[in-house]
Amino acid sequence: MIEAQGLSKTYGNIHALKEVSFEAHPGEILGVLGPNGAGKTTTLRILSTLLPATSGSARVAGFDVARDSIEVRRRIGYLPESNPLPEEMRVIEYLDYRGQLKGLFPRAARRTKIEEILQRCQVVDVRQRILGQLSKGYRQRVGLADALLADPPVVVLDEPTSGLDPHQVRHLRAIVRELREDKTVLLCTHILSEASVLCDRLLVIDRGQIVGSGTMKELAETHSVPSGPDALEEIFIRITKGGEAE
Amino acid sequence: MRPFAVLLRREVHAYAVSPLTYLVLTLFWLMQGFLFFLYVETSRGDYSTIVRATFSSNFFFILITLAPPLLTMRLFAEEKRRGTLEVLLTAPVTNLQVVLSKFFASWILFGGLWLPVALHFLVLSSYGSAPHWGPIGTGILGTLLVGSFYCSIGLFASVISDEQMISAVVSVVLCLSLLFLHFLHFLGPPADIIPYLRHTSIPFHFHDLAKGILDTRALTFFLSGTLFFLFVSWKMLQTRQWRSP
Repeated sequence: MIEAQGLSKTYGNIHALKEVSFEAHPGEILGVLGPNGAGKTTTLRILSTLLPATSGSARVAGFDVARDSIEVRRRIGYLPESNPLPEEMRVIEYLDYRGQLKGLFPRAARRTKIEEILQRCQVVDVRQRILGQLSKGYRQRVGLADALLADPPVVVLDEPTSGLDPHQVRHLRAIVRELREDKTVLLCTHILSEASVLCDRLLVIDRGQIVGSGTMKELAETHSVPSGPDALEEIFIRITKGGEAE
Repeated sequence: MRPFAVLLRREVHAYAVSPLTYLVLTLFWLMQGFLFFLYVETSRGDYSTIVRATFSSNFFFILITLAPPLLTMRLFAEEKRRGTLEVLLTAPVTNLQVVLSKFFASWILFGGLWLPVALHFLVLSSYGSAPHWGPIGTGILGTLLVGSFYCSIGLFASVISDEQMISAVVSVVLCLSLLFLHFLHFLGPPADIIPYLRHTSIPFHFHDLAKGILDTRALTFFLSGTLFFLFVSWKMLQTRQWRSP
């Protein structure tokens, strides 16, 4: 469902990504881990067609992200890290607008879908509230509702639980687990405990390069780390150096 | 076509809920009402004098130059500052649809600013003989054409800036430049470039329209200027995506 081949991205002399290749399949949650500035968000932005890669190629749901960007956008639900929302709109207005942009017609079908997604993301009680007045937790859930609105086969979530309280984190994780049933989920996070409980496979990026990939068990075996609650943290410390891309 | 209509509705809605819109509308309508009263008083009801004053006075050119920067400064600058442009561009819409929807929304509002002018002449016609609608019609058409040119400049200024105020300043400077090119011949530039300076100034092309003459050179100038800045805005939006870290 997601195929990235030799993705590279440079900004002047800075190599944000160097020859990154990976695949993610339907029914799988692929965790993208890495220190701050490692290139995680750049990878997600290329896959979401927001950024063109300097070299390499990527396909999402069979479409090339550079050549068929509109087709890719139809098939991807993206929740960006800071989840910016238009402050002046109401929740219901915003989702209706986004539904129209994503081609959810006729109106009756869109309304039904919005009601379903409001329930699923637990934002029914704030449906008439203005987005600028929502708490961080609700804003994040509205962003997730938007990402899932058109029922895309690929969902890309960039730090979805940052700034949420434990109840909200638990609920959001439950939704992400449900997505595994029929979607490909790319979950970018630096919360290692989250990655270890949610993800089927992990991709560790450091300084723009993939420094580790596989299931939790495979990574532990490769790096000779005994299993336990701190195993992923130990693996992460061993294979990443931290710092920004060069 | 459908995404464009959805985006256009969204942009018009954004104007409708912005306090700045109502502030600009109130100020412009009051100003136009006051000016119209002044023109009627001083012309003693002579239609041709009123029409000439309405579309050729210095006040007219000040209003038509200041309005578009105020209307367009937030279009892209605000979306970039908030980060909502990124979310917008993950939806299945093209950059061109985004640019055009913002442009047409600002142009619709610009047209709304000049609604009282048409109403003033309608009211005046009910009190006396019928006016010559030709110069009034071409004057309004010219106003809308200048507005489209200036709105496209404002849109361009908003694409290249992340701050509304910077966007407004860039837009005002560019719009004023097109206004004052007309007067540069007073500075004594080489004689052979004076015609070129004149032909790139707004008042030169607007002059005939205000007199009721529909000159294709004027139409071509305003429309090609609009298309040029829309094209550059579209390309700048694309290159911004390539450059953003």
